Order: sequence, then C-alpha cells, then structure tokens
Amino acid sequence: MKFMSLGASFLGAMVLSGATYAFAATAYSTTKDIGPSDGINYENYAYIDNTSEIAWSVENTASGGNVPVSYMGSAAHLYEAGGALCAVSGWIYQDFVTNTWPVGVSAACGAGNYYSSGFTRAYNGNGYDTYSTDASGQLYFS
Amino acid sequence: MSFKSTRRISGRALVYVCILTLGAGTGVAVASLSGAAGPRNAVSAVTFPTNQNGQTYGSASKVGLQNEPDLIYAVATNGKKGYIYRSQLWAADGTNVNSPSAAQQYMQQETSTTIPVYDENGTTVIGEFVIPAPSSPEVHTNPSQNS
Repeated sequence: MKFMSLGASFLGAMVLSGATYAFAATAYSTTKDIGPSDGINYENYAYIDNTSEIAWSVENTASGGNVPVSYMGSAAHLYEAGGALCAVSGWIYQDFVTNTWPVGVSAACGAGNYYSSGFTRAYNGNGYDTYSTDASGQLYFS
Repeated sequence: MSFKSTRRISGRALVYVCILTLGAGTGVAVASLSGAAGPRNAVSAVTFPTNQNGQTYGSASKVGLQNEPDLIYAVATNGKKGYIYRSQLWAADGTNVNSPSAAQQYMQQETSTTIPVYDENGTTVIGEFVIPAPSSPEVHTNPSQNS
C-alpha cells in the first residue's frame, strides 16, 4: 500500500511539475502549409532537440520537387521559456538544389526550458515571401 | 460492508486514480513534445507596451516578422535580459535580402555581427547579442550531423 502511495505521489508530481521533462527528446511544432510563391507550395515547421541543444526551422516543398538555389531560406530562433530571444541563426539560404531546407542554431544561454520558433521564406519571382513557423513545444536544456 | 471489502474498494479506487494520473501525465508529456504555443500568425495582433521614447518593446515569439516590436526581448551574452533593436537585427541577419543573387552574396559573409542589448528604454546598453555569420559553427544545416 505504501509503495502504491509512493507511486501515485510520483505520478502526481509528474503532472504537477508542468509540461517539460529533462530526458532526451525532440519537440516539434505543427506543420503549416504556406505559399504558393512563384507557383510553388511549401510547408514549414520548427523543432528543438535537447540532446544537441539546437533549435531548427525547416522549409519543404509541398510536392517534394526541387527548387533552384536560394529559392528557400530559413531562420532558426531559439527562445527561452519566458519569451526572450536566446539565439538566431540569421537567414540561411540553400546553396544547392533541394526540396528541403533545415537550418538550426545552437547557443549556450544556460540551463532552463527553451523552444524553437523561426521563419522561412520562398522566392516569388520578385522578392521573398516570409512566413513564421509555429512554435515547438518546450524542452529542458542542461 | 466488511473491512475486507472496504480495502478492496479502496485498492481499486487507488488503481483508478493511478490510471487517471498516468493518463493525465501522458497527456502532459504528449502536449510537451508535440504541442505548439499557438499559431504565430494568428496572434500577430499582439499589442506591445511603449517606452518613454515611443518605441514598442516585448517578446517577438508570438508575432509575425512584420509585427515584431521595435525592441525585441533578448538574452545578452552575459546572461542579462534586455532588448535588441529590430532594425539592427534585420540589418545583420539577412532579412533585407530580396533576390537569389543577393542571397548568394549574403551567404559569403564570413564575420558575425554583434549588436547592443539595451534596457527597455533602448538607451542604456546592458550587454551584447551575436548574429552569427552563415558559416559560423553555431549555424547548422544538416540535422543528421547534430543529433
């Protein structure tokens, strides 16, 4: 009985401790459909990995087809849980023909909970259309 | 009701509580790992406070690029929290690039840029914020090499 009570207390503590855990994990945002830009549909999302401690921003072509060099750009932004911007990758444009463009940024902003929320852009023939990703879930960085 | 049956019911109740608790915990874990803080574009109508110089300031994490405040809440390299100017960030991070040829030229940049971190009034410098060059080791483009 005592063991069961301890088990229940542990599980209760897990629930009460909030929405983040300190084990190795990857947390993703939802994937958004974006575009079309120059007739091409894209999708984007963000994710964070607490093993590498890198925040990623990813853009894909919706069809899986390749696009020319520098048609896609991604900018990863790493935020601490309180909303302060910890690190940015800056805009990184694809330097080869591809259908996916992941860009990540790592930084040492101290232990705590972090999430990824970035931007992607797509060339429209006369400039770039810029889209935000949704925010990933939060993970603990040690 | 006998003492024995009371214990059996209590035991069952505890099992149900554990199952419900585990279910709730799993739900929290799932929410943690796959949940989003909300569509950023959908909350771009966030209004920001204004400092004594008439500049908006706050976190850029809940808004689209065009709706970011004048002063973006950020962590300085010394760990202090303050604000960076959106205009200085955009001037350094490639936001102003507007064509594939300009993008390719921007990607050749080899030096990182350091901009000041201010207090909320945008006048007192409290630290520095680094925008890495595209070739900096902090910037990654191949997830399979970093996870």
